[in-house]
Amino acid sequence: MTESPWIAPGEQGFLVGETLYLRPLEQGDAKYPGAWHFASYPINRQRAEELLTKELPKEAESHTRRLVACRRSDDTPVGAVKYEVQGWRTAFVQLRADPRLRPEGAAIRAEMLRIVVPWLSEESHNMVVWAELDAPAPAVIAAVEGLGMRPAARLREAIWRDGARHDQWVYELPHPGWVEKLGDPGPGIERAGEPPAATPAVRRVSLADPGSPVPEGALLVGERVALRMSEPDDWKRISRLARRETETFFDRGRWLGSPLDGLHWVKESVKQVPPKEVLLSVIQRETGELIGEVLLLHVDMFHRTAETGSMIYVPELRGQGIGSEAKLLLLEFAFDLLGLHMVRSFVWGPNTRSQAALRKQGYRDAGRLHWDSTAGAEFVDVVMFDLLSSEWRQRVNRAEELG
Amino acid sequence: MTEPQWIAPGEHGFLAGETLYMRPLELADARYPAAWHFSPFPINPERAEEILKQDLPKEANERKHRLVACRRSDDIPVGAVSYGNLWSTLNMWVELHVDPAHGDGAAAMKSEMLRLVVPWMSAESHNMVVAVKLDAPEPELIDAMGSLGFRPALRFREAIWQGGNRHDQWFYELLHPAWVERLGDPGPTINLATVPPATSPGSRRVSIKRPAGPLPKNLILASERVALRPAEADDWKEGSRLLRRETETFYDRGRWLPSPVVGGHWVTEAMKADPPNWIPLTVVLRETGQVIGDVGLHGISLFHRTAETGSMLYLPELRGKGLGSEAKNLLLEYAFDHLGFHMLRSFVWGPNTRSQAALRKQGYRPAGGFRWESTQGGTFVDSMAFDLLASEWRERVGPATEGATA
Repeated sequence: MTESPWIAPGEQGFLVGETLYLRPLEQGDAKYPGAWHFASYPINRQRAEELLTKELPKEAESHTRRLVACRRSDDTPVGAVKYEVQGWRTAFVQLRADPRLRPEGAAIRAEMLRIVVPWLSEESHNMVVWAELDAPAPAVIAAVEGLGMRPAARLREAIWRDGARHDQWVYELPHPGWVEKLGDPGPGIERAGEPPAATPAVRRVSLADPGSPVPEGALLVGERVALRMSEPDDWKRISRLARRETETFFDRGRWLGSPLDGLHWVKESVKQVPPKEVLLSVIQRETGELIGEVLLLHVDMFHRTAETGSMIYVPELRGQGIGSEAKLLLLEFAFDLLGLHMVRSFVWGPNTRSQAALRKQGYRDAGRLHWDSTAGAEFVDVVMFDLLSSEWRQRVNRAEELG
Repeated sequence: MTEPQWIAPGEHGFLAGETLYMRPLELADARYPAAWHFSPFPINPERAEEILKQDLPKEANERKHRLVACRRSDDIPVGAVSYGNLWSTLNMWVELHVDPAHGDGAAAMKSEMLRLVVPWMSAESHNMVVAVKLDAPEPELIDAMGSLGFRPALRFREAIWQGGNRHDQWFYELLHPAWVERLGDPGPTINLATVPPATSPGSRRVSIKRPAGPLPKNLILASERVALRPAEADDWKEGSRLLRRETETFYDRGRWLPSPVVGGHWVTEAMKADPPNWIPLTVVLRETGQVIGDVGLHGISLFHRTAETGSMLYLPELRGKGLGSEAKNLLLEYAFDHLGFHMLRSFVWGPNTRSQAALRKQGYRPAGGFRWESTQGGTFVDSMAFDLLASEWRERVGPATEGATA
């Protein structure tokens, strides 16, 4: 129950719907973690107290906010909205309904969207509002469509819920003022497609008997490269290699990270069990030298999903299939070793080369989020991809048969 | 000295100029803190190593980065650039630092650092605006800014204490040429600056020496109708609920819904710092004892004796009655008389003309602003900056009388 003697009955603030109102989290909400704790595992009241006191302020510093949805009839928290403001220009919204109220879940999510999206769009001047919808029920789809939102992307089978796999959708609302100025970008999902029919590059590249040389600590070894866990000192080399970069075709130009940032990142990431990130260094077998990095981000062992990323830092080693070899080793690691069900990848719109590489590796176009960043004086999109373990396994098995 | 046996001689990376090259910080730079530690207080290598190991990764999480400038001739670090997309991902913020030991050569080094990093930040990294902060800039550096396409954006008068004197702080901006072509040239932002207002009817000393009647505990200053006291974590319970009743949507990000848990945490943390970076004060309505708003000093520098002011009245029905100005006048008295600050600054969202008018009435001067810092509907809008000197304020309100502060 909201501990608010001050707000009089019927005076629920400015984010009010027919049956719900939204308000910031209060210490008293520790009694209702099911309503606002965005996780698949339940927590008790003591842990909820701790999260409210310690984690919530940290979350606010990273520009993420939560609002709890309370029933107007009895002030009980029943769900929550989490939104991240990105660059003071866009907002990314996630929803939760208390799982104990399962039959009402869709109605709660739909009403929260109707309350929060107009506020984030018109009043807060967000150029684009995105809503991430996990296995959306028809009532939720009706709500976002009623708000003028359009499907931007669909990640297949990304959600495990109620004993089955479901899709995750992203809907978007470009601000009408910007649509008028820049033209209507149309629904992002129109650019999504079927999985690629031919994926000649996809095969199992790990060698059971690699011969020598094999770098120390190698997890998977291909013909030319091997993967091993990143070590803090790897970033000394990566930082220096990045200074030799000749390609400027990145969303924020060339990157100049300190070896000390990477060292800290590696040290922190290896402490996580289960891991949220897996950082693997790509070692050229012939020279034993580090030439790149492949990684899994946002590893979610509940849904069995992750985001993939890869980078070859030595410009002269690109375009020779070395990056693809490392990436195929990463997919083996993700699907065979970790048992992930699907992986996704995001690429900056103008970077068509990386997009082509993903398609060759078997990834499918999953849609795009409009106006996510800029290139020159143009707003550009982020292009989304997905890949299912079943598709990947079918392809590598076929490659083995053809052998 | 850079310890990269890896980078071959002459291979200084892609940010290399005639005499300098820029690279990320490495642990060995602990030996050269004067080159990259942006502070008037010197530190030793032990503390420098701690900062490199612990604070640098935190800075990176907050989207703040540093590059160190090394001499090509001997790889010695001589200065640094601090930069980041602190607010908008389209606006880059840059600060420069040169090892004070280089004295007269500093302006030339700063110019060369800018020549190296600015094209990378603007054209290559797609920043719509690159804004550079210049503390007491040398004439040579100002000339270099012009040749790089920068224009003056704002000037905070006497904001810098350096070499035994007060100097101005400047911000220069480079607007991405493609955006200028697309949106039209808005002109130098410094054109928004004016002279101090001739009359400032709202600026007066409102504190009462020996106030009678109800007063909050822990009082700092009281006027006829309001009183200031240090913020308490629990004040945010009230603040958070009052803000839910907000009817005015005229803020940069619309109405604001802060959590009392988060606000309380900020206040608790702020109270731990000594000297403080932020002094949050609560505005109490004397008659009822009710919390009605907050005022505060942010980004405090006791070295330069400057801070940013901010104020907010939570209850729409209490606005427009001079209560906010009363609280603000108490804050100015506190900042100038009590803390002895030399100047104060304030920022307001461009479309919020009401707050800008209030600042002018209180005696603040428009100092310029930042272009295209946020959006409203389908357009980019500016931020406006204001400054106010203690000397100006004192001339208007008269000298402090004994016992005027609690």
